[in-house]
Amino acid sequence: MSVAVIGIGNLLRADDGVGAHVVRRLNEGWPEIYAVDLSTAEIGVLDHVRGRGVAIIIDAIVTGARPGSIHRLELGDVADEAFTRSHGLSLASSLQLGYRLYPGEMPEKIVVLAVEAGNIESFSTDLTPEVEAAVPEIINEVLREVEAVGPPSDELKKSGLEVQSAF
Amino acid sequence: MRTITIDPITRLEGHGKISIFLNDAGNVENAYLQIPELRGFERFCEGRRAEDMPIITPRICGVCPVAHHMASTKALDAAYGVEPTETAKKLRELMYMGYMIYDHTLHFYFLGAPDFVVGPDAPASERNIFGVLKKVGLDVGKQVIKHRAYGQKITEILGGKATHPTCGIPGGISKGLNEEERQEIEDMAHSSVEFAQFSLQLFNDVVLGNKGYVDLILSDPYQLNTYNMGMVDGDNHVNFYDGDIRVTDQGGKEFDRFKAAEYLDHVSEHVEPWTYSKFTYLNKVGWKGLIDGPDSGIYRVGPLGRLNAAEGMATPLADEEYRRMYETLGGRPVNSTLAFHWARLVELLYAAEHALELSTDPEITSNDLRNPVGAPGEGVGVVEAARGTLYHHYKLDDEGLVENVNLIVATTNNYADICMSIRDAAKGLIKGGEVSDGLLNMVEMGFRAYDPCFACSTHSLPGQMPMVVEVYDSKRGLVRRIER
Repeated sequence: MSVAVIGIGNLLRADDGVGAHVVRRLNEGWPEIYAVDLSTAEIGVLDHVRGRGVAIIIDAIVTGARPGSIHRLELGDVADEAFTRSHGLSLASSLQLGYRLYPGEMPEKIVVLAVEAGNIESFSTDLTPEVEAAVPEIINEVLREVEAVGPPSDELKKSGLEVQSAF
Repeated sequence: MRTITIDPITRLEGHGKISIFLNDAGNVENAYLQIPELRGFERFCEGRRAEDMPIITPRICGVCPVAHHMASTKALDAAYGVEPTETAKKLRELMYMGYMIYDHTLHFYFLGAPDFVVGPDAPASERNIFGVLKKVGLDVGKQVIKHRAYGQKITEILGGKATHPTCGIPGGISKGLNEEERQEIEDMAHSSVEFAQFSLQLFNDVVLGNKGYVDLILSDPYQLNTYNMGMVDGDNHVNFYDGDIRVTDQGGKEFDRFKAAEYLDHVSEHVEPWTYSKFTYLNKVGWKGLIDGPDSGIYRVGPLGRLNAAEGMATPLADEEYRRMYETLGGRPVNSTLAFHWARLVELLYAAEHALELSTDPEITSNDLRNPVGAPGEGVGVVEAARGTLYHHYKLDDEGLVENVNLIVATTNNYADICMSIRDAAKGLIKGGEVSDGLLNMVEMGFRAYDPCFACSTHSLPGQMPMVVEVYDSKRGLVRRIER
């Protein structure tokens, strides 16, 4: 059992990059945690979640709530209208495909931490202060999940799936 | 008159709206693909450090980041007046083959195959990768996922990151390849060659083995008689990374040929008031509106444009498939839009074979990775993105800050063709006001073949694309609106 943290969003669009910001800080402060900035929510997510017990996906969301608030969602909550995503599959469809093709290898639990964005329109590599202030809490959420699950098994380490993320 | 509008276009990047106008008889009068997004990316780049451009521009969209990274890196080579070392060129090209392997694999199986393997008339809920797997089996699905991941892994080993590489620097590349990594890439490339051959066999059995599909490919609504553009090597073989830009005419003969830096003398952009995306055309012919034929400067890029603009493939197995495609479809050029899917698979095989060649090149593990740069100036970098020719043009100031940026992306090159393909498909398929979901999908197939990316063509950053089709009658009254 182990955890994969996946950051999604565009680093150049202010709060849309919150997933990438969290992943960068995890890589710096907790290098033992497997965390990758995937940027785009597509089929590539399977390369990172297969063989994991838990996958935590961090993305920005716009619901009208207070910027910086963290919505904790299950996969079913983000099952969007399938297949309508442009050049590939949506995140939910990609994960569904994973469960269809690799039923024994997919995580038992997928947590989506959706962070309410204040600004996703501007070209900026910085988060707004409200979302920046939420980053420690997101990291705490991740650490709580990691602690509950425990370290990766030797088998997983040997499988070669443990690749160092490069930010 | 009735109008049909398709918005958002499913399985397509960016944002677009198709409006179809019908006449009194219920036949198609005209059709427009509008791109309603405002460009902003070029301005965003101004004032930034030149060396940041290969990192920033891949964020234009999530689909061809590697192509933007490479065009940007090559533009910096030119702007700093430096040629990369031989090893750096080969490493860049090897990384690029990884990108082509995963991009072409994804497009064929996830976006193109649903129309052919599941069928163009199948309900939308089945016309997707899950429907494809139901037909071809889960094992094929695993092969698709595996080889897409191989392409990504090749890019990651060389580029530092699978989707947004960071390795390109003016004059070379920031990281070399060790023997262990080289062996890993060789193994993956070897497997990818077999997978590409399997994919061509699948296309052969499922598509070419079905007379209905072959008739559809060759049917009038899907023909477009334009010029073709693509990059070629000295033997006029398709080259994704470097070479001359070659344009062939409607008879398949060379019509124009130029170097990256000369592109502005050969290609211009036309603006229409109803869309934010520009249209490109050949200067030698001029802009004559949305018409095909030798008197109109419209050309096609992308897999079919590239194969048409070349005279063969540089690797033996892909070259054999190239010749088989032209023999089957009646010689070069092939003007059938749906043949893009076949051309894409021929290119997949080339990318895999070439990755294998490069991974076994004795120079590939050399440490000669970078040449010293000159003073900053102006430069153009061109690559063949999966979707077609991609130009990056930068002007730098004395301190290496970006003064000016011009980008011409694959989808802009193809925009006029896409508009015409939609119009022609609509004209051929919508008769007497009869509009069904199946018919609309046939219209969508006309542009899905190009795999267009409007995020890039307007240089905006939407990340995903909603789609609406609206049908208007002869009095401009909205009679049908389909939203996905």
